[in-house]
Amino acid sequence: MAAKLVSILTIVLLLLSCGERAQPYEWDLPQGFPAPDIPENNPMTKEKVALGRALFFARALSFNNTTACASCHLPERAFSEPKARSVGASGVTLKRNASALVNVAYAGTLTWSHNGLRHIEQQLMIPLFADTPIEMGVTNFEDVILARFNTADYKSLTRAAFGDSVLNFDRIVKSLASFVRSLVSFNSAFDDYAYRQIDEALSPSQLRGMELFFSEKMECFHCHGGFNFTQSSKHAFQTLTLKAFHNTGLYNEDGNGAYPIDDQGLIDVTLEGSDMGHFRAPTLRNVALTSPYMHDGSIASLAGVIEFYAAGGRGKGINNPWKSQFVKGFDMTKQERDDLINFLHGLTDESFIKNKNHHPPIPAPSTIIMSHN
Amino acid sequence: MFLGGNTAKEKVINKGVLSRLLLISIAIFFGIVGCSQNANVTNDNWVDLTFVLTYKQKQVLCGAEVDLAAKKWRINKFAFFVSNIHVGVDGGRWLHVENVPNDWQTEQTTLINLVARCSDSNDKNTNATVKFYLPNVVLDDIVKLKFSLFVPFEQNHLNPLIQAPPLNNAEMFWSWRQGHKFMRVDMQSEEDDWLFHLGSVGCESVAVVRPPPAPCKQANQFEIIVPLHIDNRRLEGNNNEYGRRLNMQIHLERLLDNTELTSEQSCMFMQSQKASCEVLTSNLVNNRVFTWQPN
Repeated sequence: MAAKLVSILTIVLLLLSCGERAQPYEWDLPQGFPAPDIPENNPMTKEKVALGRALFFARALSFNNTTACASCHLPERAFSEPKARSVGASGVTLKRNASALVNVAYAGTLTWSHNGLRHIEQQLMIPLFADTPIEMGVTNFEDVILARFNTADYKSLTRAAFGDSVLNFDRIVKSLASFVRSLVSFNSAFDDYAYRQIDEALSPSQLRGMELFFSEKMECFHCHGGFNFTQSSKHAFQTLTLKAFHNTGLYNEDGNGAYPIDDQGLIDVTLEGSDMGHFRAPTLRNVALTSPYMHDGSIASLAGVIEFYAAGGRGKGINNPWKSQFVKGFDMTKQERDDLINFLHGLTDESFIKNKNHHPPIPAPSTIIMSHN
Repeated sequence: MFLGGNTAKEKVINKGVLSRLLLISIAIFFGIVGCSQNANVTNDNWVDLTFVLTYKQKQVLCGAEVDLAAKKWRINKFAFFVSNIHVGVDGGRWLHVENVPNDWQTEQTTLINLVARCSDSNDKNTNATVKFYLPNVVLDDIVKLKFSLFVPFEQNHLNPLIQAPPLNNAEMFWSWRQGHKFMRVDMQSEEDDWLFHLGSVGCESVAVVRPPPAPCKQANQFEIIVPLHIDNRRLEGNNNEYGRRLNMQIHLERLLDNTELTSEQSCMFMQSQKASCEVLTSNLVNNRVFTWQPN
């Protein structure tokens, strides 16, 4: 009897000492790259990533069974989309361009302009539950949506991830967050050149473009710095959250720096005047695949973006008093512009785009309403 | 019964006791070691050297604007690296000190980051303090202190990804070739802006993401020596009986002396900015920008 008690005590202590016993997720990170910072209440497991992957591509997750996360975050576009502004499940056009989902696990803050959203689990509540405007439209349809996943396939995935087959929105959010965290991209030509020291990885034009990118003349690296080409980046042994938001001089509606009233950026969250028109500098990894650009998708091409920065902003926005100090404008030749574009193409990671784990599972796990799948 | 000649029953019992002991040992080991972290270093003879940014004797806090040349200026960034601290004692001896490693400092180098956005103003985003171990000397015997505004060459040009904090801070990193910005001051008015980014220049490498094999031609490593006077020294007891806090004042107006605050007169060590950079670096070393904060 005593031996049994000791054995039970031992097992309990072992479990308590090292947390969850699910299969830990194995990061596919190149040597030397730091692991992302993972919230303690949602450790990465293979099983959660698998469930999250299935859910990410499931239209059944929207109120009317029309829209999946992947409807606006297309794998072949580095999880962005070609529309200037996304369209929600109810058909309403949203106010922003869908962000690429690349190395989101390292993001210091999330969404285009919110300094309080630091975990994907928090951010996911917006597309799922927001009602003005509706994105997925889950609010008031929770039971209807959960019932669609009451299938053997999803029960099996849920049991593997959480130990029983009960799916709820807490588990949906944790699984989706785990899948999004798994979208890691570090295999571009730039990575080969910079981190793997392969001298032939970048072309002469790309090398010239890289020099321009890191120059004080063009200033790109000030806002798109660090290993993720965004200041909004954080990893396992970095505690500092860097300044992530900038006014680039896109607009100046009233001559005093106002952005269009429907979307004024960080000021809408902080109510600080100096945050007018401040939006997060996105990662430039895979940027050649993520057009159109800027928070509202108002610039169609990389060439357009470079010309925008060369002009020091757009129209009246050039004189926006809240504009970043690093958006001053610069002269450039056509060759320099082409070199810079070629360098930005060197940030494309083909293996990230082709990774089968980043695409819908085949066959797709069944849901009860299949008419739109 | 444990002295030999055990019966079969006794052997079974012994085996059971040993198994239990083994299991208990494993349980205790994992319970203690399992997922714990190293304890923080405590009870050492350390000193907090705290920097306070002031403009005309008033402390500059987040969101503060300063009046300069009839304009109001916001200070968006005021950060710098401190390395190679020595304390000077009577007789002219310099004693090298070692930092207490934490998220803001390695054993030799500390990032001081004084101004953060107000909306982000939590302790995680600012650091005003170098915490270092006091060498084998009585604090009262120290008559001066020196430090350098730089990151040592051996660490300055390494891949920032694999560097310990704070040397993995992208805001303070130029590139492998140029290394870190040793000091960064970003100021902005409604009409104009002004930047001072101090770092090594004249660094030669095959690409911007390759480190230079030899030191840069213009290293821009400046040493600051600050005399201490007993009367002006601020020693504050801390919760730790061995700890002490010393306050160092940074006089912004002295740094900006004879400087025209315009974007053209910024200093990021481009050729066209040679004149403004010379004024600033001269101020930094010769104009008593760093002093002990008076009581």
